[in-house]
Amino acid sequence: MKQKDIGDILGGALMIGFGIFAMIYAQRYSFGSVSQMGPGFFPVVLGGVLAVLGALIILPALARPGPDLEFNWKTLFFVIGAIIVFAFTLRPLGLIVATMAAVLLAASAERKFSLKGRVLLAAGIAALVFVIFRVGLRMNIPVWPRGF
Amino acid sequence: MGVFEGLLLGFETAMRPETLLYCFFGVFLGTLIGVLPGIGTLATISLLLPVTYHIAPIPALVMLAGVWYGAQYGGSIASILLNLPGTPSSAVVCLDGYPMTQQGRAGVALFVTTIASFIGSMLGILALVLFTPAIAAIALQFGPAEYFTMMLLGLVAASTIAAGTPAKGLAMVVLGLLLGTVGTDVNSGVARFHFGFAQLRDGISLVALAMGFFGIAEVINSVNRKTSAAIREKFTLRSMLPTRTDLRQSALPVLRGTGVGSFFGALPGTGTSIASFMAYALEKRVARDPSRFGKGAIEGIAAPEASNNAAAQTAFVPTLALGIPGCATMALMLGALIIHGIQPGPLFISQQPEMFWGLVVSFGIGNILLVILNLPLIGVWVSILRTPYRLLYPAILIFICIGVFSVRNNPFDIYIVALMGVMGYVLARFGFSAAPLLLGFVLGPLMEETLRRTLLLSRGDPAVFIERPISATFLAITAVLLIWGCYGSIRSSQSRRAAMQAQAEARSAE
Amino acid sequence: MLRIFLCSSALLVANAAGADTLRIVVPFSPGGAQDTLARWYAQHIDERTEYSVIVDNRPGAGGSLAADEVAQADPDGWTILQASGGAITIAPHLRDLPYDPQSDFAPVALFADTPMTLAVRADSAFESIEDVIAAAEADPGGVAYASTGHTSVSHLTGALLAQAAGIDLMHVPYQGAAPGLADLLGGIVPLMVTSAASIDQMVESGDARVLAVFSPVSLSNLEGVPTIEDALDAENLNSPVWAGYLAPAGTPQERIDELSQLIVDICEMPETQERYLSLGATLVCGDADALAAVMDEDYTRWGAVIEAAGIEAE
Repeated sequence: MKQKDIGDILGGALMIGFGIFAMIYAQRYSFGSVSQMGPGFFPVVLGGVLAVLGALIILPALARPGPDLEFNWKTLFFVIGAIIVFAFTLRPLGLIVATMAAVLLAASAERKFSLKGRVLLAAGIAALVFVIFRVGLRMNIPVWPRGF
Repeated sequence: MGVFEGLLLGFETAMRPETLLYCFFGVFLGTLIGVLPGIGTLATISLLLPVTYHIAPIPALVMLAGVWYGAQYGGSIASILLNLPGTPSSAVVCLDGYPMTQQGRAGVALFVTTIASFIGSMLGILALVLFTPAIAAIALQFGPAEYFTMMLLGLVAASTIAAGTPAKGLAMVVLGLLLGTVGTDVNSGVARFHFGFAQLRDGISLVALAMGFFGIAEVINSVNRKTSAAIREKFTLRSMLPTRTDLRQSALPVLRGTGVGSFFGALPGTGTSIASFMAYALEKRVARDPSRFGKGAIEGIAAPEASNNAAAQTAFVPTLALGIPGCATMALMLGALIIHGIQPGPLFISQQPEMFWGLVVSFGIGNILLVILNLPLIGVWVSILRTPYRLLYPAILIFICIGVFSVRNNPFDIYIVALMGVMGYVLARFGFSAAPLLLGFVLGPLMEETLRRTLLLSRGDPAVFIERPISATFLAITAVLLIWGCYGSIRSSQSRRAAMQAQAEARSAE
Repeated sequence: MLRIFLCSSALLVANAAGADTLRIVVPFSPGGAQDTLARWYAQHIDERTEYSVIVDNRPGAGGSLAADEVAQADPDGWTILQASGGAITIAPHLRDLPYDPQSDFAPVALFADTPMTLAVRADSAFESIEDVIAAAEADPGGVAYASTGHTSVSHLTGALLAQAAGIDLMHVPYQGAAPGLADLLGGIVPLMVTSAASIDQMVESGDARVLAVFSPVSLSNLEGVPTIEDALDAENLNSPVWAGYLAPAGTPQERIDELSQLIVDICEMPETQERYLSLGATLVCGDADALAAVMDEDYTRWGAVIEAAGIEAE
């Protein structure tokens, strides 16, 4: 238990940050007038509203105790890492390699998972994905590394 | 052609073995992807589009539609058992469905949602058949002012039921609206917030955003959590039968939900998610004891499920009658029709009677198949969900990546999924719910467009919003909701502070 | 389903056997009229030749992602772009592109043309284009027309009309034809510049009328409608919405001729004609030279219109 509602305070601060960023960044687009709104009008107004809402979230949270925050950074790292590896390897190395690499990485997030189990799972999912997307749905997707 | 002859023709068409087969395949696949969190109808239908080139137009559409409404059934299974929405439109079912599971009433919850889905769908189909011309005429009278105020009302209403406070819900809506401004501005052609990436000129992909915020964030939350193993119930038909009280309590909510769903489904720009949120909000407002909601109130699952299924059916009204898709999935359906050289429009029903009535009747057949798939075969779906999560989530991740990639054949969108996943996870940990953000994102571009168009056509005179009666009504309801929300948030903040203090005092007293 | 499964495995085997694959890059998502046409050609090229054909959908950035993909592809004759106005003849006047539409492509064949029309609601007070001009002269900038998007062919055709008639029209952009048509029929906006394909059904049902077409064509529903050139008694007001195939520059001439012949042959089939009609497109089959001429004419015309109207992208 915290003395302040940390989640609301950080979340509200994030909203203020997004809002102010949008307002400043959108300055490069013309604001226009009410009858001829420019591309900057909507983002600037929304950014302002978002910053105000962020402040409204923070203010009551300062005077209110809140729950502790828990983050599972390790899982976040493995899951997001797997997605990025897949995106990075799909075009040059093809579906099979990308799938296996991503599955191996993603499965590492799980504590009780043997290496052998992970490799088997990677091979199984690669085969499944190949059958569903390439054979079944005839998707236009690179399957093997370039040059093969 | 009268309704009766139409239905007769429809039966003839829909009962052909080939059509029946594709209907079954569609609803089966729909249930499956609905059950599995992290892979949605949009991705599935875009994956199936190439397949439809090889099939006659009627079975093709019957199959795609089956995936669409089948997913509405399947979506609630994961919501109820795992507190993990299978589809965005079933997210709201988590709120009361999962508490029912914790109370050992999962079987009843599954039974009630299936029956509610069935009734909602059937009445939705009835609405589709009876009111298509009327609804088309009404929607045609909407100008940009009505669209704008209608969407404003929808967003404000949606944020009042967000998990946290109204301020947090509204903030997520506005953040969604801002994310929606990424990409080329319709009115000026200026590409906004693209940070030098050509791929961002078309905006953030809806599929990537939805999968990031709903799919990835949920996967991260669920790894190492013993959720799937926690499903211990055996689902015999007996354990699923609701009590007389359950039935009495869900009867009216199902009808109200169907009404709400039929209405929002038929309006272009809204969809099944808004319909289910609206139905839930309505139930919470009309309930004698709103505090039961979130703790396993049966109305809280019956109404939204009836609503999103009714909406899934009436979503075909603008698509078929006007050729205007109401949501992204309907845009794909429209695409599938055009592939076969059929242009839906005011003349669609009279020119393609076989297609229209065949579809309508196949919806009915499909829904009966779905009840069979969902009630006696519930065990199969549960066992899919019971697969240890460590085997399931890497596959889900890969499916998400491939699904996102396939929409635009572009690895860039997979990176966007990763970014949205991080954002979604962090914000969820801070107690911000993602559904209002998604709504804001979907409606944002349309809202900006209609706002600018209204004021362009009125030459800058904002009075146009209150001079048009329908638009003025929408605005008035929005204002009432905002005031209500402020009042409610002050009250709940006070009671929360009091509760926290009481807890802290109790602890220090120990 | 089983049949599809078998078909696709057969295809896969064929691919694995090393047969060459022609890739048609389409700048639109699966499902639209353009994609449908691409698949029509893919299917028929597939039937007529040894090699297999795939349609590669690369929507995005107004078609420039697909164009860039083909501009950078090997000029070996196994990649072609299904191109239309936007990315090739309009975009270069508006912004810097990663490719040069004039020098990075070799025209292969021309295969479609959908004329633009000026449409009104059936009960509109505008009976002819003269009524529109009179109204616009009485209220400069007050008469609005809907287009299918900022800097779309529809927008520029409206600008072309305004310039030719010496009037000032209010431009109201929509995203594609359908929402604009809804507001046209709903009486929100009095005029719309849209393709004959999109307005055809509404003319047939009596909900809309066409005041003029921007191309001398004969579509059954548009009989008796004057062309814009006749109506204004002016020249150079045709606005064809063409579609054609382009190869990367440097593709061997004999390969271009081969593909060109193949596409023109398919284009001239009676079945293709029917297919086009159902999509509302007009059939124009032409070789590489015909496409080059249309592209040149388009490029010059839109450059002039964009400059005269002061239209900017960013």
